[in-house]
Amino acid sequence: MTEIYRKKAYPFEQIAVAVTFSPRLLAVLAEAFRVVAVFGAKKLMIIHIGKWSEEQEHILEENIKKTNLKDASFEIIHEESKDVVNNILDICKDRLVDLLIIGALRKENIFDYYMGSIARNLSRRAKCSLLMLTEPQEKPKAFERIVVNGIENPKTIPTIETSLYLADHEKANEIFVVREVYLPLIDSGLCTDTTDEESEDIKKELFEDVVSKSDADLEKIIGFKNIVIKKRTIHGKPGYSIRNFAKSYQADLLIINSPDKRMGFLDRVFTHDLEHLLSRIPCNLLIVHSRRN
Amino acid sequence: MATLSHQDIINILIALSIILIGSRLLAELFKKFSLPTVLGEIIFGVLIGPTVFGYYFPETFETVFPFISENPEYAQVQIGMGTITELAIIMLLFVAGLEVQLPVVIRQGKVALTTTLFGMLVPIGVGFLGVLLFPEYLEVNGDTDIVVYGFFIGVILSITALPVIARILMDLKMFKTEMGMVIIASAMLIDLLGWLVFSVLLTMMDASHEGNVLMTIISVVIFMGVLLTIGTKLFDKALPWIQSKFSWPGGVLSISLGLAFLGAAFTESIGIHSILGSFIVGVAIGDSSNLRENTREIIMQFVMNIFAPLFFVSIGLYINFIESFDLGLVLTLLSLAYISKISGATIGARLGGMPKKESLTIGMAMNTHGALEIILGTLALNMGFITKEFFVAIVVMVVVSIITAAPLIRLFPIEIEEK
Repeated sequence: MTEIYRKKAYPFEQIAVAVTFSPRLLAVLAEAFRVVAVFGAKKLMIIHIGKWSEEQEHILEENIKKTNLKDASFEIIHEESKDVVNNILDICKDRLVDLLIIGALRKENIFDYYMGSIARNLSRRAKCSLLMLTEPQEKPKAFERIVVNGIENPKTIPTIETSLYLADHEKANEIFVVREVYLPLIDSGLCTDTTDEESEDIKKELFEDVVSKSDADLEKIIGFKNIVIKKRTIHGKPGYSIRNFAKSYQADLLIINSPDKRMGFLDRVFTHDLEHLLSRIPCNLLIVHSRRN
Repeated sequence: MATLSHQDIINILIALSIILIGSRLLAELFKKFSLPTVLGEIIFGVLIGPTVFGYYFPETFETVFPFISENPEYAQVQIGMGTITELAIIMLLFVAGLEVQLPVVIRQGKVALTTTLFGMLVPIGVGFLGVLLFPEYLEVNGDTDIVVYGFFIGVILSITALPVIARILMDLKMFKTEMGMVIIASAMLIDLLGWLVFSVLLTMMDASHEGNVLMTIISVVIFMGVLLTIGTKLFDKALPWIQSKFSWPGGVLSISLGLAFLGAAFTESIGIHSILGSFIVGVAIGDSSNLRENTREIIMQFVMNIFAPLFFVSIGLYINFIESFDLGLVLTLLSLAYISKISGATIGARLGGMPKKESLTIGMAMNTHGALEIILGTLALNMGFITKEFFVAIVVMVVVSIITAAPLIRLFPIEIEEK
């Protein structure tokens, strides 16, 4: 087992940001430096993969200066390669990065989505937590309206713990744990031979079972008692329903588990789970990789 | 223009009301014994058909159900009732399509795939072996096309009844488990592949069909491929607009069923049976993320409680189950079904990484047959591909598998660990 898998999902001690020379460079850098300051990390690793020139180095340094952060400690890591995703992932693995920050479009064009853009591919394959900033600001703000996916999964409790750790550092008073319950075929199984009351009872029983299990799991979380955990259970397709919830709640950060398996082309065609979110990211998205699980 | 007479209309309406009210009453009685309504509907058909009512009161039977009679005087009624039954089958297949959710299958990944593959390949292999080893029991004669017949039996043996198994899993508190989801996902994929194979078989069975089989396969694959990818995405894009601008649920209902009929018309026109069109449109619409669950429920309620009884009762109306009961054939088919389906799905689940006990339970659960096998049998019977005896054996297999499913699943008690 490599060293990276022995680490917990938090604290975020090693933070990196992957940058490109896009109009959002300054905003992404500003957000990344803010995150470094919030979590008390020693420095920010700024990763750039691709052609590198003195001019680009100059642009990057100018942008760093523009963030106006005193004592901002950083290290620029650049590699000239066309395999951007694998290089970034290798650097993160070698440097034991806990949190990788990237800028991402809310919605990509159909070709980029199906073929896989750099940001989307990183989110599918990263072995560390990944913060996708959909609307980075040059004057960033703390995350206040945080929604966490509370789906039934062994990774969920480490994700909620990481969310509480994040909320604590962001000085947020509460997080919203949203439990998605999806029971395919439930209506079809009940549609001919149950009364309305029986059907409701069966559905209620299945729902309550999820809720009681989730509540019991949440009780086991130690620490972060200063943060209120609000809870909501919603019925719908995983990924799709929480996307809609985050949008209607006007969340500024949605936190989810890392995918259980490596998502491929078929997962995009027959969209499910993470792919629903990646097809249209509702707000900033943090994918927590609970590595020890 | 030939039209139904005043008396024809009255006859059809009375027959429809007897079918709907009677089957519902019997279904409710069956429910008391925890048996699915579909069994009540089939048995009601047998009771009011030539097996019981028609046998003892032939004249009254012909008066009440004139469309069963071969008397040319009732030709118009036969056409009228035949159209209603045809529509019922198309709508049943549309609903069967709505139940298939490919994202659920993809989510389960390898284990669903191996369970499906072995859950289909073993029954198809056993179907062939059965035809070769027990030709006298399976009614194979000199004119039988062994390949098509073997495939047909294999497909019949391989399909798992989705709604029936979903309900059994709910009752056994296994619905939400990892194992339950594997069963559901595999049954969904088997449905899809089963109908794909069957639509090709129908073309091969149809002696009048002049097109070649390869063209049929290519057409089916293109039709499915386009509809399940581009079709689903287009419908998904249009759905929020339809749901917000049109009356609800009327707007979605009309458009969904309209598309199902259009799909059915298209496949019929290119030489594939109409049922495949409505089934694939159902899958495409069912896969749409924006389809509200209560819309799906309303469509299902409408079809399963009105059109399903019409079809399932009509099965018993046309056949004398006692005259057409062949014990040897029934036992052969039952043996083949239980051996092939249980072993195939068990091996598949095991290869997919499920533990031994869970794999066996998956095998038992996957051997639950239902409505689709009966529809498949009806189509084959109407085309003269199988005999009434074979059709009765299929119905018996379905009934027995439903009754034995829950006890068989309970044979291997496992610790339920929810997903």
